[in-house]
Amino acid sequence: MKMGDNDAGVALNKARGGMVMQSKKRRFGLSGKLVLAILAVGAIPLVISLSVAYYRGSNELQNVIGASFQALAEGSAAKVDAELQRIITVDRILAQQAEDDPKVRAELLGDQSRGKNSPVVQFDWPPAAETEPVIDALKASRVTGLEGVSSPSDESAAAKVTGLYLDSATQQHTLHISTPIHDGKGTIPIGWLQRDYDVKKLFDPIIYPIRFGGTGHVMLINNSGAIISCPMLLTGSRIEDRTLLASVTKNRAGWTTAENDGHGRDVFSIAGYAPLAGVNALLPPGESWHMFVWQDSREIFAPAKSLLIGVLLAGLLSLGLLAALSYYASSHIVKPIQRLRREASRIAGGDLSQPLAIHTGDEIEELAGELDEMRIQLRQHISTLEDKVEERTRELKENQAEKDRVTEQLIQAEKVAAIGTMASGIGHEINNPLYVIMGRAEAIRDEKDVSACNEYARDIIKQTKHISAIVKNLSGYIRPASQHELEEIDVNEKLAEALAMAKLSLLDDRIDIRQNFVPVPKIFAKHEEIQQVFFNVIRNGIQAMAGNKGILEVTTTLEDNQVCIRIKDTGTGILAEHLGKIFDPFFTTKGPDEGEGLGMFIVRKIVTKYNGSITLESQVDKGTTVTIRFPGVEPI
Amino acid sequence: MLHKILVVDDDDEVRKTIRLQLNGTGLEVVEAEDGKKGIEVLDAENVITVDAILCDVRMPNVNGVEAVAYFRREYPHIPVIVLTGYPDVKLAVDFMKEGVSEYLVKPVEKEKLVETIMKAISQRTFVGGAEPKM
Repeated sequence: MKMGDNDAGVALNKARGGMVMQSKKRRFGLSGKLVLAILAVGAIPLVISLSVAYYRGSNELQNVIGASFQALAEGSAAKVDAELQRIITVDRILAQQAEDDPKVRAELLGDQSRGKNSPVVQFDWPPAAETEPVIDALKASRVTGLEGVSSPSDESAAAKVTGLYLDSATQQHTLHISTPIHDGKGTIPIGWLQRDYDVKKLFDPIIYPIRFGGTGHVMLINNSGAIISCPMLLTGSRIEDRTLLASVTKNRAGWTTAENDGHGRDVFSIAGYAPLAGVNALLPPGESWHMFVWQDSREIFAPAKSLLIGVLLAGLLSLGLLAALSYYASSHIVKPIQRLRREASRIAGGDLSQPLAIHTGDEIEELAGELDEMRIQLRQHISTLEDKVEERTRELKENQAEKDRVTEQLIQAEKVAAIGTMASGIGHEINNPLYVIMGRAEAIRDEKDVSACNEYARDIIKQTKHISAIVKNLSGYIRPASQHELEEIDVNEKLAEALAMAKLSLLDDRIDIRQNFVPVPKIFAKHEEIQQVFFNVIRNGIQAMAGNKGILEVTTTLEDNQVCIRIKDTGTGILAEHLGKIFDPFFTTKGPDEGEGLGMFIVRKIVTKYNGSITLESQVDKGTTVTIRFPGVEPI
Repeated sequence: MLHKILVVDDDDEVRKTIRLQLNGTGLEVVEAEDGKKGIEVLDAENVITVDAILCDVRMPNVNGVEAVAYFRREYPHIPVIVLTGYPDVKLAVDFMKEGVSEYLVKPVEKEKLVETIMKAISQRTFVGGAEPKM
């Protein structure tokens, strides 16, 4: 794992960055989606069933309320019927007593002449003292002749109830009951026992106690909407809503819903109703009495409201429970997925060592298995890759070493080539004194004069020393570079040597060589390489002026703490299009025997090797200035 | 038979060596210390007539290459021998193309020098020029 763990890490982190970006786009997590799905699946039937339950419940409630209202109406109607029957029975007994009373008979039968057209026979009966005290509602009791009956509908009827009318004198609603008085055992009526009852006193004791809840009560009405008895409405007032009235004054018991409560409010209400069967039979044709059960709709629907609240609460509770359960369930499903994701992230992060341990026994475990397989393959691939990288790195290192070696050889070869180009100059320098030596030796051989021989011998010695000096000067140039270690080098000294070497190749004295040296810091380098740099640049300058008069000026200065060497010639200059290629290997404008085009390439290689720099300025036909800078070892 | 040899060389010691080597061989030495002087000697309206020229290459003012070219152009009947310290094949080939009789590299022995000069004189050619004045 020596291979770029860091590099791989960086790359993988980038990949993870991509994953993070993706997860940021995610609006709902898997868990959220599952909860939503379960809620959708669970909540819709729940809401539907609760709604149905509420609808049916409220319907049932209506039915129950309606049925109980109906029952109450029937019960109340029976009571009123029974009370009326009791009164009618009492009247019947009184009428029989009147039949038996001779005074009454005398009054009714005594004056036959009056007949039907005679004035009405009418007298109070029984006398006030005998009036039955239990009937508190009795207002008047009298016997009349047959003519006294206000609206006899059926003369054979046992009794007649005349219905409701307002007694203008007392402002009381009165019920008038007529009971026939028969003659003896016969069935022919001879008069009527007429009794008036105060409606309120008669029925209120029956109607008023029937109360339920806060507002529930029964009321007695007739088919024209007149209130006969009601704990809330005045007797004689009317129910104005014809629709409601029509629906509650049917000839049978029942219950109904209405948009009017009959008590002045336009709200939905339930009403129970029942006809007073016993009474209605005695009433004049076209009139009927009915019992009507009413309760304030707010009170009626309070149970429905509480049912609704109950249903809603149950619904909310169910939803909450469902959400909690689905969250629990989804987290059971999602947790292994999240673990899988973490494991995948770990692998993505480059940790391939640990196997994936997810044992859910389902598809997720299978997925984890696949992922683990991928992890193993990835690890194998990476390991192969690492081997390859190592191998390649080793090759590159070897190549670099090879390249360094080749460069070193190239520098050396170039130096040898440079020496080749100036070999004739060196030869000239040595051969001249050698020739002189040979000539003197020959002269000594042929000369008899000792003093002349001595002179020749002195010449030989002188020339030999000259040769020795030349050889000594040149010896530094032909040692292999690798034998030399880095050392502090006096740039001025090396420039002077290079100039001396370059002069050897000059065939004449047309080139004026000038040295402008100032003391500069030493530089740290291999001396023969620096020599090579200077010699190459100087030789180029000389060659640029070949055959013509010219000036080669070599200057040293200290600029910005750097040793600065300027080598300026007044030669042909460099064409603009060649300037960029000067440092390319094998680029040359010289003839085939004047160089391989490696000189400046080597120069730059050496200069940059010692953290130096080299720049060129040139004008065609004016000359070229080469500036080389080296960091100095220490300030002077 | 006495022959005059023009020796063109800037080195005093070399000229002295040539004088010593040719001493007593019947070859008379006329000296010129550079190419320019050598040309002047010949151009001086035949004040001096030479039978051969012994010319160095590296010299101030006019160097050997230029001087030899001039000699071969202006005085093609006078054999030229290059005597130089440069052991340079290219230079030698260039001189031979110019028509020099021999390219001698110093140091050269007395006998070799004399023989070369004598041979050059004996083989001199007359290329379109007048008969040498004897």
